[in-house]
Amino acid sequence: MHPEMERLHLYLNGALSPGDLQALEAHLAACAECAQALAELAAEDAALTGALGLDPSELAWIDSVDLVQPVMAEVASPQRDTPLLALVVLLLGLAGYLGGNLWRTLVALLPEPDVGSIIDLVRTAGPGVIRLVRWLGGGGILGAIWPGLLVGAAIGFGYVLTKRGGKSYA
Amino acid sequence: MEEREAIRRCRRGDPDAFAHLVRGHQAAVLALCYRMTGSREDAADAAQQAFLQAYRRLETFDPAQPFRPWLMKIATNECITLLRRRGRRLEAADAAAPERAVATEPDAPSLVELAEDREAVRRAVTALPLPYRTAIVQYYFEGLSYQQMAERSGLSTGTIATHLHRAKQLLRRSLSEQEVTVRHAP
Repeated sequence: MHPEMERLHLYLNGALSPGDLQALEAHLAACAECAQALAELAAEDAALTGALGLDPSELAWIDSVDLVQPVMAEVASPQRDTPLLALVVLLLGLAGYLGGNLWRTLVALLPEPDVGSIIDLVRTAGPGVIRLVRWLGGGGILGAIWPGLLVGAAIGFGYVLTKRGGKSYA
Repeated sequence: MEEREAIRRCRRGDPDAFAHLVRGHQAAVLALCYRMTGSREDAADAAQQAFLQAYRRLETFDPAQPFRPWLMKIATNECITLLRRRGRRLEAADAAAPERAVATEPDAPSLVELAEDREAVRRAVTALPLPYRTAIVQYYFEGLSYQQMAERSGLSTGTIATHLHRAKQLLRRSLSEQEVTVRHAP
């Protein structure tokens, strides 16, 4: 039985275990077809290695690029992103807090619901959207956490903004 | 300044010492990123990100180990991240590739013949699904052994061999199609 091509690859790379190596070499000595396949694999490896080597024009481009300046500009000012991120989070967090209070104020203008908890709400199964909105805004769980959700979104937004900060290459 | 000394100084809070490391390794990192992405702009982008990541993670580097392989692993990951960000098309291709790779015309030109067109090979490599592209670049361009590739990727040497084998099948198929297109062009 002929070995799989992967095993021939491993053989060429010297990555076979001693037992496998011995078995494969014994097979190769007796099988002209596999010996031919191995020679073709070696030729393919050489051809691909040659094809992927760098051309003079590519080498010239690589030599012309200076990453030291842009990298060191980022490295030397590691705090640059942090204040911007903090500012975005602070401003949007403040907006969330003010928005939350405004929301509660507006909701307080709606009629008082006759439910005390989400269980009561479900039990009464009242059809009024107003009651649900009133419950959420008047101390329900969503009313308590949505400014927090807004701050979380602000952190994500600020992170994306700072990650897209200016890049420059030679 | 010696490399180890530069690393030691960086870790002690001297960022200027990192310039020495960038200067010493930027050509190799750029070359790898260029072969991975096939674009100079993307290569410069990925290489810069790789150095920044290396700087930020320098505390996790084992100074008893050589610096270059650690840096090249970061660069490879930055290329993969960048290419994934480029779009979902790559992942769709990843899923379909192994099945398509199996069927190769028996009378197609050999890969050795097809590889004479270096430009076509490079184009074909940058069109490969990411795992195969990574394997081809690491093996044929970086000159890593299967063992080194396995250590870098966390895959077994058997899986590495399979990736390379399938990558070559895909390359042969892609190069054959390109050749047919060129031959039949008006």
